[in-house]
Formats: sequence, C-alpha cells, structure tokens
Amino acid sequence: MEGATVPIIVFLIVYALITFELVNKAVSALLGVMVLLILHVVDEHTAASLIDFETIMLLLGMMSIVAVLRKSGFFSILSVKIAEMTKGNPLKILILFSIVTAVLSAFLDNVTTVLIIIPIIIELTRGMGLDPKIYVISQAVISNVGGTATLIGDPPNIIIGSKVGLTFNQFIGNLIIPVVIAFFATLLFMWFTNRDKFKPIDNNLAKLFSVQLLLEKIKVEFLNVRIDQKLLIKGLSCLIIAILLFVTQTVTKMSPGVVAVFMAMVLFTISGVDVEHMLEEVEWSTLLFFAGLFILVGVLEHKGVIEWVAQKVFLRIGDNPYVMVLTVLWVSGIVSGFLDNIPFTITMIPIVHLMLEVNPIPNNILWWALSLGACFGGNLTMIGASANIVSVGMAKQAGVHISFLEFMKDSAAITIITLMIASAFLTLYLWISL
Amino acid sequence: MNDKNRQNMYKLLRNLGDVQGIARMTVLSLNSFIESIRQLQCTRKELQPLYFELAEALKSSQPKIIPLIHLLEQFEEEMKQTLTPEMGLEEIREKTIESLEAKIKLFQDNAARVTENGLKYINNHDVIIVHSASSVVTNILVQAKEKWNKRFEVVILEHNRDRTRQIIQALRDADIEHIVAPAYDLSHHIDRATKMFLGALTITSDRKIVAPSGTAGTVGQCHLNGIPVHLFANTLHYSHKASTDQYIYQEEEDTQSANMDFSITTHSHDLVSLDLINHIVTENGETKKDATAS
Repeated sequence: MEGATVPIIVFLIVYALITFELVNKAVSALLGVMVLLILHVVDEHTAASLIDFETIMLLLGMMSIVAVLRKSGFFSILSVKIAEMTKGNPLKILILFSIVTAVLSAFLDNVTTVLIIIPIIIELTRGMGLDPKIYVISQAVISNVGGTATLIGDPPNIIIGSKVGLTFNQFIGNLIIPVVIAFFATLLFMWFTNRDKFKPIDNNLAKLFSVQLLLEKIKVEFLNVRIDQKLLIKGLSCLIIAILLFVTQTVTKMSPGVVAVFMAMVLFTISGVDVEHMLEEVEWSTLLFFAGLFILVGVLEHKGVIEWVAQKVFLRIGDNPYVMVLTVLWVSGIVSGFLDNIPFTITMIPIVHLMLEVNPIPNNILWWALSLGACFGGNLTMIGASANIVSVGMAKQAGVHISFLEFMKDSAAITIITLMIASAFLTLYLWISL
Repeated sequence: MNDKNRQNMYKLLRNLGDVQGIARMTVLSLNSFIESIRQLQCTRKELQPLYFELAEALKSSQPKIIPLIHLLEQFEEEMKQTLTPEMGLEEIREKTIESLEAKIKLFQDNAARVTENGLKYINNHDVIIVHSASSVVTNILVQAKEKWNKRFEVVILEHNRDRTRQIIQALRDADIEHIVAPAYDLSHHIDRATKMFLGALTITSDRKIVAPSGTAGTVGQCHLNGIPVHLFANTLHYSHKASTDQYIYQEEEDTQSANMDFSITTHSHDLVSLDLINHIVTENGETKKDATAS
C-alpha cells in the first residue's frame, strides 16, 4: 500500500462531501481527481483509462432518448391516463401509480421516473383532500425496487453490468423474482399500515364530482404541452429497439452502452429535434460524477487499498458461501441507506472480485447480492437514493413537508422486509446452485 | 357536504373556469355530474338527497355559474316530477343521466345558434379585438373564415396564458390572420380596430355583465374610441339577480417589493355596464339591452 495515504484521505473527504451534500457531487469527485493529478499520485492518461466508458455511454444514451420522449409529451399522456384510470379511488391511485413507477423505473432511471410521477400524484391526492405523503414515499420506494429488476434500471446495476460483463437478460432473469415479491410486499405494507386512508369514495357524490373536476384540471395542466405524435412514435420505437437490442445482446455482441448511444443518435437524426436543446437535458453533472468516482476508486485499487479492505473486512468472514452472500447483501443494504449507493457499488466491485477468488460462488449470486443490497438499501433513509431526495424535494416545493423520520418510518421497515425477501431468495438460489 | 369539501369544489370550479371559459365549464360540470352518478354506490333512499345536495352546492359556487344554475334548476324540477316512490335505483340513475344529457344538449344547441347568429357580424377587412375570447366568440371567428371565407384580422389581447394559447391555436388552425398584444397595449391598435367581440359569464338583472378580469378596461377604451362592442351569449347566461349577488370571489395575495411587504386585492371577475355594449347577440338574434332573465 505504498503511496496510498494521499488517495485514501482524498477519497474519504470526497465521500464525506458527497454524503453530507456539502458540495455538488460532480464537483466533489472531480475536485478529488484534480488533487490527485496535481500531487502526481496519478497521471492524466492513467486517470482517463480508469473511467468505465461503457457505463457513461449507457447513461448518456438513455438520458438522450428520455429527453426526446419527454419533449414528445409521452410522459404527460401516460401520467394523465393513469390518473383517469384511478377514478379517484385512493387504493387504485396507490396500485396503478406504483405499477407504472415500477415498470418505468425498470427501463428509465429512477430520478426521471419520480420526476414524471410525483407532481401528478401530489396534485391528484391533495386535490382529493388526501394526505400526499404516503403516496410520495411509496412512489420513491417503489422506484428503487422497480429499478432493481434490470441492467438499466438503477445506477448500481449499470455499474455492475458494465464492470462485470453481465447482460441485460442475466439481470432480469435473476432479479425479477425477488423484485416482484418485494414490489407486492411494499404495496401490502403501505396498504396495511395506512389502511384507514385508502377508503373508497364511491358512496360520496360530491367527492366523486370533485374528482371528475380534478381529473379535468390535471388534464389541462399536464397536457398543456403540444403532443407531438410523430416524435412520440419515433422516440418510443427507438426505446423499444434499444430494449430489444439489450435483450439480444448475446446474439448481436453489442454492449448496452453502444446500443444506447447508437439508438440515441439514430433518434436525434430521424426526429429532427433541436440537438443542442436536447443535449441540455442530459444530466452532465451525473456523468462527470461517475467519471470522477471511477478514477478515485481506480487509484485506490492500483495502490492496493481495496485489496487491503477486502482482506481486513470481507475476507475475514471466511469462505462459507451463505455467509459471504448474506454479508454482501446486508452490508450493501445498510451502507447504501446512509451513503450514496453509486460510489459504494464502485468501491465494492473490486472487493467482490477478490471474494470470488477465495470462493467462486456460482451463477453470479454474489453480484446479485451486491445489486439487491445496494438498490433495496437505498430505501433505508431519505438520503439513501437520489430518487428519495428528488421526491421529497418536489413534495416540499408543492408544500408537502416530509421529515427525515417520517420518511424512514415507512421506508426503513420496507427496506428490512425487502432485504429479508432478498436473503430468502439468495439463500434458496445458492442452495439450488451448490 | 362539509365546508372543506365545498370550498375545495369551488376552488376547482374557479381554476377550471379561468382556463376553460364558462361554456366549457358548464358542459364539463354536467358531464362530471353524470360520471359521478354512474360511479355512485348508495341505496335508493340515499340517492335523491345526494343529488339535491350536490345541485345545491353547485348553485352556490363562487362566482355563480349562471348557465349551470339555470340548467340545474330545470333538472331539479324535472326530477321532482319524474321520480316516484316505485322507481328502483337503476331506473332513477338512468332517468337522471338522461335529464342531465338533455341539459347539455340544450346548452350546446343554444351556443350553436348564438354562433350561427354571430357570423353575420363579421365583414371582410374587419379588425376585431378579442379579450379572453369565449368559446362562442372563438367559434364565430373560426366559422366566419371556414364557412363564409371572410377575410379579417384579430387582435388578441392577452390576459390569461392558457386562454390566450387556446384562441391562438384555434386561429392558427383556421389560418386566420392575428396578432397577440398585451391588454395594456390596446391604444396602439385601437385606430385600426373596427369591432370588439366578447362573451360573458353572466348578464345580471341590474344591467351589468360579469366577465373575465381586465374586460372592463378594454370595453371602456373601445367605447371611448367609438369601436362597437358585441356581446355574444345565450340567454342561459341571464341572471335573475343583481351583480352584487354573483359571489364574485375576492382574493388577497401577499407580495414584496424591495423591503416593503404589501397585499394585492384581486377579484375573480370584472363588472361591465351594459351601457358600454352596442350589440347583444343571443340564440334568438340581436336582443335589446334592457332584456332580462325571464
């Protein structure tokens, strides 16, 4: 671990800045990288080679496709249609919006999903005189659960998929069962703990009438953008083709990053959108954040720090596969609840590689443990996942204040339940595989 | 219905009315009534009081939606005569929906006749000022171009973003020449204007019209400059009551400029004297200004 002191100190400071949101995430990470460059801990070329461009390309491509779809009005139509389908029934609002949130977050990033769903669910529930808090919390939690199902659904999965070389089909094939069970468990929990708030309104004519007016108001407000049908069809077609190419990755040999950027460029070309404007919609700060973190963790890996941590912490637990899997799952789950799960996952990847050298657990089960832990664990607290922070922030803007403890009251219990579901699933999977 | 639910409903009606205009609001309210009746789960005994409770609440909305009130009064009268103790729940539901659908048709037929009557007030080369155009005024402009191929220009005075967007969209789709100007800029367009068109929420018994905010200033300026003002409204907009009884909603909003805090008082609608209106066109054609609700 020669020369590791400076990168360790820089890494810990960056981690603290990110966790306590003292400085913008991207700025924190790049500032750390710049310090390492200035102190000649690493040179520019080595630093650039440490960036996982596959992850960056996948994010860039998907963000570009989403930007075009948003411009087409697709998300507005979708959310208004769902609002209409609920007919103002509180339980239907929870169930239907949760299904949409889970499906969207499996194929889009979770922050985009909550940006689409939260405003309309607040408008709908508040207009009906319901408490929007439980709906906001449930959608944030569900977005993290739904995003766990696919390679492109949640940043930890994108990172794991890219760094380890796991395919879209492997993710969905291995994770869909625990994710679906966790989804229903989350809904059941939300309903059971708030069941007095989900009473139907169909025996109250005045409330039914107000709901009809409210749905009309929502239509006017959320569909005030012109729906561009041609753009919508082109955008959806490109998204569907991209997903099909993800699914057939083993046949086409095209990596998800290449597919995403290729389809985004095809969409830009055929749609005739203002590319400059669309590129403004890409979250460049997130991409820079990822690039910076890859360099910081890569330097630690080069200096032998990751191996040291693995030896001192994770490899001490022995080589019992059940203990290894459950340790990775629960440590990932708890740590991701308090720290950003993106840097945590990037840090854990080389550690899991080292653990697999000690005991090559079959069927990538240790990677699924990391994925389930990092994604489900993000629900533990309000700061555990970006979707939680964004949802609570949007609720606050709309005058609905959700405190840290209010959020945690429901989300912590759900996290424990979902991690228990994941534990049972992984144990069973391991038992079958051994 | 408790007070919170009632206020919530009035707020929704106001918000939608501001954006959709009174004609669409009336139809929308009746359609919402029908849809709620379809979804309602209750006993035969509970049904009638629930209908009348909602109708009563709607009749007291702030501001009053006069066409809706007239139609609901007709509906209540019909229901009192139609409903018999022998009728079952589903039969009552069916009759109620039938009656409300007939009210929508009546309102739409009247509006279509006002539109038809209004077409002859547009001549080639007219420059027409519109402020918060009602759906009837929009339809007159569109049909004058599409049916009668009239060539005219419209000066749209912006007052509410959503309403302005709606009329711009309609005029663009019909390929009608138009410009959009802020209402305070009217003096720069008044010399070439030939007419002003407007709709109204209500025509009161004390000879005033209740119209969207800002209408009074525009009408006053047109009147001073000798621009004939045309009001297009069907007779369901005539109220039996005076302007003081229209529940015009007053709101106070706190604001700040530099270090000074103050509140701004606004009203949901303007009151305009009928003396400033030159032509009132209803489904029966041009009507005398002293006509009141019958």
